[in-house]
Amino acid sequence: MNEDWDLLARARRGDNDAWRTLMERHHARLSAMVLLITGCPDRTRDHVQECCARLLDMPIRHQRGTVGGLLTTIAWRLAVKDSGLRKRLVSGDGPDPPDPAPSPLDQVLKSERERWVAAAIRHLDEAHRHVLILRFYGDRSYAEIAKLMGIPLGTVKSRMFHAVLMCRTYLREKGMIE
Amino acid sequence: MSHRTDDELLGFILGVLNESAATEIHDHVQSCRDCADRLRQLEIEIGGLRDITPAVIAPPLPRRKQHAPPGWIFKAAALLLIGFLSGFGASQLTSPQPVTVVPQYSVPHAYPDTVAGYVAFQPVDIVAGVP
Repeated sequence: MNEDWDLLARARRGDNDAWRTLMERHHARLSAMVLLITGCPDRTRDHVQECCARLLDMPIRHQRGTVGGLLTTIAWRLAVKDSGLRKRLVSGDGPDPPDPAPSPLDQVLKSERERWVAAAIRHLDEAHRHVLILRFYGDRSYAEIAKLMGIPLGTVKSRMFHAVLMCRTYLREKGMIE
Repeated sequence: MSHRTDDELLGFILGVLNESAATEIHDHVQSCRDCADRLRQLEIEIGGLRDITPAVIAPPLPRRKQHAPPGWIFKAAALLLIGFLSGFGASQLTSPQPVTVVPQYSVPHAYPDTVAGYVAFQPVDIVAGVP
């Protein structure tokens, strides 16, 4: 939205109301996106905060696209980079030990339904999960996802379709849908 | 009339079908009540997959220093000031040099016998800087 660019310009000049409006429009879905990638509320907060700081400080050379799209790109890259780092830090070939503790997502997802949906999405393999997350929470078109992830458009569509199928299967097994 | 499968309806909702397949399903749903109902149900299910709203507080607008003018402006201003002060100071420190001006006139053959004529022939000292 062009209005978002105006809000951003005003926020850069210190307008709290403009910033609050921008956050009302984008913060929830941005947090959901990062949370579903990282699975950690603390890192989600850090990444979203970093994303907002970058949005305020980065030079804006043109206003092609949307502020929402820019936020998605910044946040996604931060979260993915973090996920990659975490995987490199984990060593060992054995299966993951069962985690007896409640999921950290439970701290921030209050309804049982949301927790199951998050579990279904987190249950996907990375290739399918990111496409679904970018589509549903990043509000990106399939063409934009293809460009961001560096994969063909047909692959994006196929992954999206199968990601939703797998989520529905998971939720049906858990009795969340018929 | 044959109904559409869940997979076909799902593909339609997600917008992953090619144009002709999407058009065909769209036309079918207009005329088939069962498929239209099933489509709505699937839309609600898929809508649930994008319903997550975590309780994470939005960051406030960070306190940032006001955008200062670029550094080169300050340097340029400093150089101008130094230049001005140097020129002004130099003019105060050095004593003015007298400039002698000798007016040139076409003089009538007779020597000046009036005061004005006498004065016109005297060299005049002009001291720089004296108002």
